[in-house]
Amino acid sequence: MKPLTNQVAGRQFATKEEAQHMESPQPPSNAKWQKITLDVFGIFLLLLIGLIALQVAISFFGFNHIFTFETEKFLVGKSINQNTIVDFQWLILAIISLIPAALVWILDKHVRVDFLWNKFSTRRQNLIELVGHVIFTAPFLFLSLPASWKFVSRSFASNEMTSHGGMTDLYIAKATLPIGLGLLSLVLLIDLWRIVNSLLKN
Amino acid sequence: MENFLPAFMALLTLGGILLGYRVALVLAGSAALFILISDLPVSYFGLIVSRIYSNVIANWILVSVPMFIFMGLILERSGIAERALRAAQSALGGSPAGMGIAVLVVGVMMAASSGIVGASVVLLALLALPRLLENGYTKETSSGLIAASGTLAILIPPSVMLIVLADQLKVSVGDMFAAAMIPGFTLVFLYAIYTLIIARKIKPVAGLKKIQRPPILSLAVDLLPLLLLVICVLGSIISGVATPTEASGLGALGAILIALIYRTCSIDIIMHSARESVVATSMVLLVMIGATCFSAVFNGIGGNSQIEHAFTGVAGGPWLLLCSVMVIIFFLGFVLDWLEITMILMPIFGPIIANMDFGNGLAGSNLLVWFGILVAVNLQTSFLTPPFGFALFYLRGATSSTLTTTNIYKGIIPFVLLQLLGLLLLIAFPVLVVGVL
Repeated sequence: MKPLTNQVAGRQFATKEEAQHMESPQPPSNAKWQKITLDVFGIFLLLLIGLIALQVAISFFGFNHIFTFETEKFLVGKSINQNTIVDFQWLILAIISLIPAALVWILDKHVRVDFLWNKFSTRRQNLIELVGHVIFTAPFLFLSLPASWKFVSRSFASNEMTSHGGMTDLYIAKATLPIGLGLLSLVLLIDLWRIVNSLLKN
Repeated sequence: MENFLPAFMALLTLGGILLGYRVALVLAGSAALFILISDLPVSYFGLIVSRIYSNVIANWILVSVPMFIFMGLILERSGIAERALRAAQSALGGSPAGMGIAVLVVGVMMAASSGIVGASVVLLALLALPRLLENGYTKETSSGLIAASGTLAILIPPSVMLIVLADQLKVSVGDMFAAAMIPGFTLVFLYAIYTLIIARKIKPVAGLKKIQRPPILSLAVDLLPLLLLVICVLGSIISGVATPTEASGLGALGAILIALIYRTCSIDIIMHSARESVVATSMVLLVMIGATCFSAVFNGIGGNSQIEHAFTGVAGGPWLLLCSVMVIIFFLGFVLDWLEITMILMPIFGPIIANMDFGNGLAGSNLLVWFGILVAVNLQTSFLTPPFGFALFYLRGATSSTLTTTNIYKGIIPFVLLQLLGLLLLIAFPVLVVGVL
């Protein structure tokens, strides 16, 4: 039943060989740390199920305002209502999809088209990785990091909130983008270091 | 002077993807690269970031993606799907024809509950392949039937592919789900006819012991909860009672509840499924972000208008365009996955198709839904086409000791032809798609 564990949503993540490679010799402490991190995001995902159920329940029973506050509270403003809960749902989606992107990179589970890739030698794979990092990933991060940072700081400065009385402090949701990209840059640098080292060795 | 930048960008991207670099970053990276190369200002990326935010991050419909993935994983991990499969098999088996149809029925049930092609194919291969062979089916026909039934998962709702397609074409997910039902069952019908024709030629195998029909009550226990869950989730979306996001969340909750009732649920299974859903979601959304960058820049350097010009003013332009898109998708499907194909091609061709008149009375959202379903059927076919069809890959992985690659490739050909026949039917009779809307 091995193939099952390596794919979701009708696509393959890794070939059998890669899967075996991934399951075995990694340092156990690393694997444990990765599992714990994914567990944290997994709990966010379970929370998402709860939020959807809550939202369906309150719209079924016709409540709208669950809590109202005297003063503005962080993220929710003066009340927690249906719109707040809906907004929290996509906030969680942003958190569980953008922030783990770097970890997914480390696990090598970002989609690749692998029919040629699998036939390449490790050295050639490393070369493709190096060229790809330099001509694709680096320019993307070079442009997207400052742009997304600007995007967040503008939102922060204008104290932006949703127009339908849902979540306030929208910059929190927007910040998932530069955080995710920042972590990705870090991983890129580490990976470049690894590749250059291994290419120099041979 | 001709503007060669779009063609150059398309080639660079395809090259990067084929060589095996991470698809999401090839897409995002070539976008960044072409902003630097072309005369688009660097500030163009600010625009892209706000588009990423509104199309991908603050997109409530996409919340249903991790939910449906999680629901499928729970159904599969906790053995709910397997239970239903065994029940359906024992209820319908007994003759070669019955066993063939049972595989189809189970394929449809798996499709409607999990929507995960790999899971469907592997489960069907492990449980149904030995029964099919026992009943006298050839290895070729068995593998074709299993792969084809298994790939129904991406066509029959709830399917993540249909959600992404609907989102890209800016039509309602409910319409897309509703419109996919008849085409899905048209294909099932074509498979069924083919299976029955094959089954007639099979001589009953001597010495095969009759399968005991299980009592109705145990069948109900095994089948009803899953059927009920599927009907509730799909019914509420298609009828418009619930949004896809609401239905997906409750579906995930329902899957956990069923697993609890069967006493096959554990914290371990839940956390494992949650972790995998997070990884899959992150991967899907990163591709979407990459594709958003790509299509914005491709449009910015004039790619979309080049394509549009090529097809306007030509006699039979709309049909020529449709055929070209279908051929492109079919061939890209040999090497690329539904997600990349959808995310790259729909932003380019969707708006062009939307403004065309096919002379078949379709316009507006109906036209786009019809187009979307044609794309979906075509993409489903791509799962079956050798050498890189994903369904074939899973089938080979699960059955390497019984089936050879040649068995599988030979067996799949009739089903690919049936797919193309189905596609032609849907093109010729749009009422099959939009009749229910």
